[in-house]
Amino acid sequence: MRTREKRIAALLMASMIATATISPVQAMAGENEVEMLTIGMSKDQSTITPFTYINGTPGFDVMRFIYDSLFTINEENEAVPWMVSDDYEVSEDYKTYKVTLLDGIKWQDGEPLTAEDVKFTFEYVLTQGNGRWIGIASGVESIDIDGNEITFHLADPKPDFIRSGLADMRIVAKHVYEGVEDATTVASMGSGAYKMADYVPDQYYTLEAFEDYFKGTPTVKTLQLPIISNSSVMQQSLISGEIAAYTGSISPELIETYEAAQNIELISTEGYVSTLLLFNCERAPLDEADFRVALTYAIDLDEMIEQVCLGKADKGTAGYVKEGLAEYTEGLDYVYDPDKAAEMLDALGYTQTDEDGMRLGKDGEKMDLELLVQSGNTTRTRTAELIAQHLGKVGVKVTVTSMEGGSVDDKVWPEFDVSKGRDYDMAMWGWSAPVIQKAGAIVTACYSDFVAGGDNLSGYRSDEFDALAAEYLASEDVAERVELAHEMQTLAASEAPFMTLFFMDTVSAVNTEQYSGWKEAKGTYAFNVFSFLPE
Amino acid sequence: MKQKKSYYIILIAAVITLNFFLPRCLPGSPISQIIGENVGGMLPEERERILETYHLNDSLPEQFIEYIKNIFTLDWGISYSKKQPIKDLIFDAIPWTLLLCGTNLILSTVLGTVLGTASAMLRKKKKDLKIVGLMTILGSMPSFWIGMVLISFFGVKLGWFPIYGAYSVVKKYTGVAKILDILRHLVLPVITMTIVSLMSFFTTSRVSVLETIHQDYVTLAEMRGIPKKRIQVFYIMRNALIPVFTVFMLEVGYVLSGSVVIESLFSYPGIGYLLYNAVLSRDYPLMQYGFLITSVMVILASWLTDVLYCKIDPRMVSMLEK
Amino acid sequence: MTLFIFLAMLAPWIAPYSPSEIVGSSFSRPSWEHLLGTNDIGQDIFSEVVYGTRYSLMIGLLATLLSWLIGAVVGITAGWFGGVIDDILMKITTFFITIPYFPLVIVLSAFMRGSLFTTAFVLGITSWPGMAKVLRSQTMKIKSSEYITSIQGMGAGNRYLLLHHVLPEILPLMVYHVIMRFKSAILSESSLSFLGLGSAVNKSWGAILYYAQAKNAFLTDAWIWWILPPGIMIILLVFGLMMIAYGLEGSTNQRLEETNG
Repeated sequence: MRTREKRIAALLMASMIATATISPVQAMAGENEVEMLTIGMSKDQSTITPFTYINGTPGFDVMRFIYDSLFTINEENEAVPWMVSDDYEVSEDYKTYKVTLLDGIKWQDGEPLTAEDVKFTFEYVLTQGNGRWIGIASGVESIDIDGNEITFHLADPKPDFIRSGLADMRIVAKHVYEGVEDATTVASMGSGAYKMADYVPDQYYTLEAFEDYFKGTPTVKTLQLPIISNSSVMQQSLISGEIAAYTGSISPELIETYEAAQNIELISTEGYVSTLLLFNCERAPLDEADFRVALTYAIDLDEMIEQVCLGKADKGTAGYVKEGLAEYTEGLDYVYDPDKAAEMLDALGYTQTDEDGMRLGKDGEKMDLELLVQSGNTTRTRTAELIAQHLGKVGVKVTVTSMEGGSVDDKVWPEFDVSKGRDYDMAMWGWSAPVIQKAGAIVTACYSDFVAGGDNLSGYRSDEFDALAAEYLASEDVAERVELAHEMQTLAASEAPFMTLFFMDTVSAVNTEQYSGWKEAKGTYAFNVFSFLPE
Repeated sequence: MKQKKSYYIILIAAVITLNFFLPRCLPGSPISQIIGENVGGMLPEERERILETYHLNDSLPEQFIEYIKNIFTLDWGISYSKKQPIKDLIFDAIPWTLLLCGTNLILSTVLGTVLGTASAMLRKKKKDLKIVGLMTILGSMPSFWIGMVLISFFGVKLGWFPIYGAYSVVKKYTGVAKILDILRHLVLPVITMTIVSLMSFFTTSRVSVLETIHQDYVTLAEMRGIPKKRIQVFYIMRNALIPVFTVFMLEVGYVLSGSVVIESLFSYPGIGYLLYNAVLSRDYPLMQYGFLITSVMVILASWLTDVLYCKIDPRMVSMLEK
Repeated sequence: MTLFIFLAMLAPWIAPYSPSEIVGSSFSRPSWEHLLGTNDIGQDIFSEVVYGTRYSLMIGLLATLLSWLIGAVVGITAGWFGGVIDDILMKITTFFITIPYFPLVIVLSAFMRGSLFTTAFVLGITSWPGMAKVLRSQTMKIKSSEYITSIQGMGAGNRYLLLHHVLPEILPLMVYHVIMRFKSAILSESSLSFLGLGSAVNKSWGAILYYAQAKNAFLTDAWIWWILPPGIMIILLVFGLMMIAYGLEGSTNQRLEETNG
């Protein structure tokens, strides 16, 4: 080991030392009107039309740049009129919604956007294959148009129709889609602030400012979105100044590194992406509600958030719905009390233990619960390890099995249809932000009617709950609905079909030297359309 | 010879069948790719309609016949996950993989063989041990690890080379500048790959050169008084390189399947990464045709190996014909 | 080498903590309590590395054994007997090479439920064709060499020739390929994790490296105590194996020289 090898070894060492002390590349001074920004995109999202985007982040987030909706979710996370005037009307039974489309809105190809397009959109999506849009449009019985006035007649009362319907549904152009059998073949063209100028699969997207946008020409002329699939490389590119921001949240362990870099600013808001621990309510011993509740007493969420998320997360509650949302129920916090957990398990008859001190089943048989986790998701694999530890302390043996994501889906949610059964003991899971923000989230998660309870992955079944859920869906009174939601959550909390662990904060890192117009928007990332709209 | 051809036909038939059934053995369903994230709220009849549109409701034999037919008509359809024609996706990705893996193959073969031969010639001398040591160190690091070190140092710290993509997506170069740009993007991934595959060429060539040195005909040649340099070059190399050649052809077979780890680390738009994503998203049609192409390449490479063996080493002909 | 086996056997006594136990706050720097600091959820990295020896050796050993057994039998048989046997065996080998790697890994691990043995099995079953092809060509080369033909002429049987002449001659190449497989198995295990297909809960060196990468240890100081130690362990292990092969090479060559001479 001399000369050359030493040199190479030295080079390797040097390069590693170098990584530890990265100095940020100096970029141009921060401006709020620039020609071009490069934004890293974490994944290919197909052609990014309402019919082709794949994931919520980054697909749907980027689609919001290209396609607009009648209402929008603003920076404060409220649904406000966007393409329609402020004097919209909602009938008392929440079955009729009347809005007036603003004048002068244009499609990106220059054609005017009319009420016809809106009506067409709600009818056309029913013939296509996107579940999100079908879910919204199938609740609409008929649409009347009179000039710019559009009236939606709903089949059932829907107090949440503005937020989960009108602010969600992207309007598509009638003259583009009419007569098209398969909407996925149509290229991206909407009425949003940015036009899709170029797309090369697995390589990049180019978005260009739509000059005739009805809210004014966007501030940045071109948004270049290279697809960088490795998250470490993504963060390296941000530090080196090659990209100005990226779609998605940064990892908490890098917060210090970014805070030290002078051209990078962190924008942190509370997040709504949930991390859950599912129990299979159809399989012994987890079919006993008390057993499941006992487990929730044994899991220390504070330690989990500290260790896994470095404190950058909000604790979940047994009521599932997050604090701050309309249907949030107070007083359903999880309590960490391992003694109580042990007591409950003893009371249930799990008193015998094996030589390692692990509890045996009621009849003295070995008990080893399997916890499934997606191997590509480090936050979840680590959380699963922690859960196994915590439960081990009260004598419940848990073995963590990590599998490729699709294989876990197949066990937990075969064919993505809860009526097809399930094959697991416990599993790590998570829903995207819109799922939990929707009114009636608890119904979807726990109702044993497999259509209305389409997200009931635990296979939870309770006659009492089902009765409340049915009543909720039929109710025309918002206050009554909230009341019913509280009751359902309280009931679910006492039976624990799953455990809501935490909601990670969304922390975006942005380069403020390249661009200074970044806007914080609650529940989403700094790369949002509001960051690029003129004042 | 006729018999040999029929073996290849059976092999190809087996491969075609495999590439249809293996993707469909994967646990999970492509439906979430097609419908999107709100798949939970779909009514059963809506679900049925979509399965119908994508022919996922047809019986497997029906789908299989359709697939066989389409292989020959080259009508490969649209990918579930990318909503683009499959043919375009595959044939756009192949050149990048060929560039990346081809460059790596040439570099690592040449470097590995030269170093391996040198090491064998210097056997039991100090220098030899040093080369072996260095090769061991280089060969013992996971590829993503090497890649990250290179990215951190040459990409971020020194800023010499771009760290993602196959060409600059921000500046649109043309002509010579474009070629230079592509080469600059190629540097880090190729170095990473070469470091990874160097060791296998090194050890193979080293061992087989060592062996050949001790063979009778070399000793004979030495006795005949042929200069040592010539022995090294002509006699030893020619014989010693057969196993190297085998390893080379094996790697050629793998070239088209690409190196997924490197391609995904550097976001290089090659076929390995394309198909890896197809697997994760259960994109049946993209998988079946994509893997078919890579499989056929492997078979071609293996066929070529047989042919070339006979060219390099005529002794093999008699062997093979026996 | 003995050091590694020693480490693997005595892991529970050497390591101060259990590798899965949370013993400190996450991302701690090295201290007397935690020689190499703690990882992203507060597990002791030193203990992880010590226990990792066990898992990595096991995975390497099992995968290599499987790959070697199949590879050697197929390769030598095909090379020695030639003709139809060779043709058929080689087509089967080529078929195995063409099986797409990732779907196979996913299907196998779904059927076997991810564990250490699954990973080892997957790595073994996918890597034997390379070994078979190399050994085949080497066997063919030896078979056609003059001295074998002459011994054959003297009426020596297949069994005798294979055991006493072919095997010793391909041994060096085989040993190197076995070592290469061992090395690749340990490294591939971490690559599988990198791609989200491996069993991410095994406490192997590969898994430590994977988490370190995923949790951005390259961007902070943590690489010194989180990435280097397992990396050095792998390098030392492979180097040790290479040296064994290196030593072995001397002795076999001597024997060859004797037989030849």
